[in-house]
Amino acid sequence: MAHADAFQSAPECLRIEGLSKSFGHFTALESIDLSIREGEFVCFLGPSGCGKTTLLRAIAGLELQSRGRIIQQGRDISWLPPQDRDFGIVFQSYALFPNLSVAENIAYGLRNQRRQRQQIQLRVNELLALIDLQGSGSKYPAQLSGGQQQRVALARALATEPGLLLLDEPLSALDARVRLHLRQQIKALQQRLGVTTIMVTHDQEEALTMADRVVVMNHGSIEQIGTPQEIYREPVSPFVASFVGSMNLLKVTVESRQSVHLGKQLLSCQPHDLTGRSVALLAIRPEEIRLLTPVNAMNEADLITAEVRYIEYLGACLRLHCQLEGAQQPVLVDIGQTALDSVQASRGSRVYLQFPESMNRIYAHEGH
Amino acid sequence: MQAATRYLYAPGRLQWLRGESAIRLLALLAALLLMLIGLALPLITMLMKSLQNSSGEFIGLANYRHYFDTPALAGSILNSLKIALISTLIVVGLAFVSAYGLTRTCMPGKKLFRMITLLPILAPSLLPAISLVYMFGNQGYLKGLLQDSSIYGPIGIVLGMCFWVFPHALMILVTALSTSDARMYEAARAMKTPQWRTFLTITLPGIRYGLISCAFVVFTLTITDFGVPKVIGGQYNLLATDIYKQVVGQQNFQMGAVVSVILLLPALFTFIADRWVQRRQTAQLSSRAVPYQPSPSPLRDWMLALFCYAIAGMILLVIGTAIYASFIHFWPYNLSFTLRHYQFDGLGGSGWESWFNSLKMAFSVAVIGTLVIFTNAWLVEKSRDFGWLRQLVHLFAILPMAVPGMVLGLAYIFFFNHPDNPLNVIYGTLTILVLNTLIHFYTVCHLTSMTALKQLDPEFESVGSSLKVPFWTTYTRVTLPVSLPAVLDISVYLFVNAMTTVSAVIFLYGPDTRLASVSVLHLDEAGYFASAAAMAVLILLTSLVVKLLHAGLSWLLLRKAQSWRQR
Ligand SMILES: Nc1ncnc2c1ncn2[C@@H]1O[C@H](COP(=O)(O)OP(=O)(O)OP(=O)(O)O)[C@@H](O)[C@H]1O
Ligand SMILES: [Mg+2]
Repeated sequence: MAHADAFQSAPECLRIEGLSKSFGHFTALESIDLSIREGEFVCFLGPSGCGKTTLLRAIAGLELQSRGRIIQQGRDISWLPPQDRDFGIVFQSYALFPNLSVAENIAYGLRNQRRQRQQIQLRVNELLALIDLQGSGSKYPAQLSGGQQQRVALARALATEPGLLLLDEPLSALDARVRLHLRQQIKALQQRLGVTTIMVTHDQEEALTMADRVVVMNHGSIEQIGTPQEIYREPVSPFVASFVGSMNLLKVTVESRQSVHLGKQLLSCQPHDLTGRSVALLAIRPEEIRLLTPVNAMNEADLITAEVRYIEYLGACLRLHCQLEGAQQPVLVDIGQTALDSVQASRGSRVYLQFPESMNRIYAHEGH
Repeated sequence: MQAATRYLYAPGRLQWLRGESAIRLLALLAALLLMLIGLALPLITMLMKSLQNSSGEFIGLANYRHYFDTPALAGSILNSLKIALISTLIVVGLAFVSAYGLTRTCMPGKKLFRMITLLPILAPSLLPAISLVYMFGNQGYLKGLLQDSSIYGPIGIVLGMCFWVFPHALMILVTALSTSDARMYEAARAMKTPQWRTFLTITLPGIRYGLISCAFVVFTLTITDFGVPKVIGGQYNLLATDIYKQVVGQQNFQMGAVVSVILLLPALFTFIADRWVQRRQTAQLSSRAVPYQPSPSPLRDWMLALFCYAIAGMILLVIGTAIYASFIHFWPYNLSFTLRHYQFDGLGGSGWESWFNSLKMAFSVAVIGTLVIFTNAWLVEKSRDFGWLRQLVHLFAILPMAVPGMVLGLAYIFFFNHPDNPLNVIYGTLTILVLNTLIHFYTVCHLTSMTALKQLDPEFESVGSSLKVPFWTTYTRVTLPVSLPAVLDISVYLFVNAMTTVSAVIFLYGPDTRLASVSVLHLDEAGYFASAAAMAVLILLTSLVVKLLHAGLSWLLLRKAQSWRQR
């Protein structure tokens, strides 16, 4: 929460109103509303084909919207061509110019500003230092590693000090280790420069770790906007719940405003607006489920019994694939090694689960 | 419709259309204008002409009726089809075996063979015909081989066509055969499939589109070629020579237009069929395919090597005959060496002057054509807006392939020689020759450009505009330099074709702009066979030198660019 507050008072950098985009009969974006504040780092997160890139390109002016408006710093830019807008962009492919050296790539936008040769040289050196590539100015892009190329693309986009930085899956072409490292580098750089940044990604971990706010998209519209914590803890729909992190979605029947039936077991849950014995979905994350030892279980109510089908080793924790007794639904439970040892669960054994009330989110069951 | 209305009347549409977008739009419109003037309007004018009588009155299909009622004219259709089909069968067969040898065996001397097979394209199609006369004509040194038949007619035409078209077929089939996936052959070997079955079930199906495409190209080239039948056709009438006879011989322009329309049909048909096949082909090969590496097999390798050497030998024999004939006094009576035929004495504009004209024309076409065609392709491929306009320009760009040179040339007469056309000032000048040649060979250059452009990152332009760099700067600083190999290929292709083409320009040269290839034809017509051979050899040498220069330049550029091309 603290994060979001930091930008509450900042002036608005970008506002998008009722933006839609269709390609022929296909609607790629449906009435998008969004406001981004100065200095914020926003991630567009969503499955492949949900329209993230299209939205980013619309902001850049590379794709013309069918309806709606885009306002940057109070100026309506909806109909301005890209060269009249104020942004820097990094593409997934980096699109570095192969025939120009690293320094020439970075200086590409500067040369056009009628700056003096010396000034340009200074700025290029400054940027090379910023991305940790001093001394590589005369190399060609093909002589750099993927991560280095990525940083050059970033420097090129930042060279002209744009008011808005757009990144389209900047890390997806890199291998996992480099990606982790660059994640921190980009975030640190962004915070140092204070440049408003929008990053497109379909990697939820990337979005959660880097963004001040995450915009979760699905089928061309926004499902939820919020801080990483809000998105993770309080997803507004089963889609967000299952797209961000792992989530058990269990069929339940509504009993009252604060309780549902899972199989025969009555469970307390978060307040919801569903009524009358309708079928609903209960969402709970694997790590939110408590696993009790048989001894502890003796004294507890609200217990759910399940049978362990198999145990998956995830490194930091273990994932139990269980089958709920009575309800015949699969459920995942994440626990640490020590916790598992104390429960002494193994394949085929019976375990006792507890779903804490505060974690039991209830959603309407669509398509029912 | 509704979408279109919304598009046009959207509040900011005009704002969008300022600055760079407006320049792009103008450039695209200019490209379209070029296509209209250089292709569409002349063809339409010709179509109209075929429906008029000699005083310009509309008479419907009367000309066509007259054409089909005259057996001497209509008979050419069958002749043309027959010649084209036979040549296609022979050329595709020979080219397939050769291409197989080049790509699927370890035969020795592949490089040399490829170089020799390139030679025929560097000369006008008149050259093989002239050589064939020296070899099989009445005084020919191989006349005995023909026994009682005459080289003047179908036999000569087919032989000449085969020689001249073979390189085209070979190139297509080599490409088709070398893009097949080695993994399929490994799988077949793992399953112990016999060789002949592998050939029938993997090799042939894998290149079927290449084969079809090759057959189409060969068919079009042979049915539209003019040079070979002009020299060696004798009394055997073909569509292409009929146009020439009607227009130049009898000044019957209406009938020339009718024959042109008829010649346009098979070319148009093969063009459409080829497009259709190409479309089906695209998804053939995955990017993960592994190139096939042949393993040695002495018997097979040597059999194919001998086959290829025989072909190379024949090519060298034909070219050698022309060279030899150009350097001796008078075949077969005085075989002493002379340079006399290269002086073109007393032949007026048919001498060295025409060679200089050709050089000027070819150079202009290479420079202007490359810039215009590549830039237009870039506008089509790399612009974001004006989708319909780009589609239209693209369509016009691939259409010239379907228009035979004779037809295009005649269409230019009708359009540009019209007294009411303000453009008629260019009639008879070098400009019209450049324009005509540029349009005639537009398609291959356009497709080459598109292929090269498609390999570039689609976001170069976006990056440029995000950095507020004008699009033409990105074009000259990045797009052009990176595509330089393709650009050079296009320019040398245009140069060589401009040097060797006869069919389109035969109607268009003026008294001061006679071209070398036209001279070959005139010298041959006038009976100066040795001088005709000399001029043809001169063209061949010129093309060869340019080709070698190009190879050297490409090599230098590639070495210079090695620093950034290496991966
Ligand atoms: N130029 C276009 N013409 C037609 N459809 C398009 C075009 N561009 C995008 N689309 C469609 O719009 C939808 C959204 O595309 P977009 O590229 O924005 O997805 P994305 O969320 O970025 O996905 P990814 O994660 O795969 O990059 C896709 O279904 C795509 O097929
Ligand atoms: Mg995308």
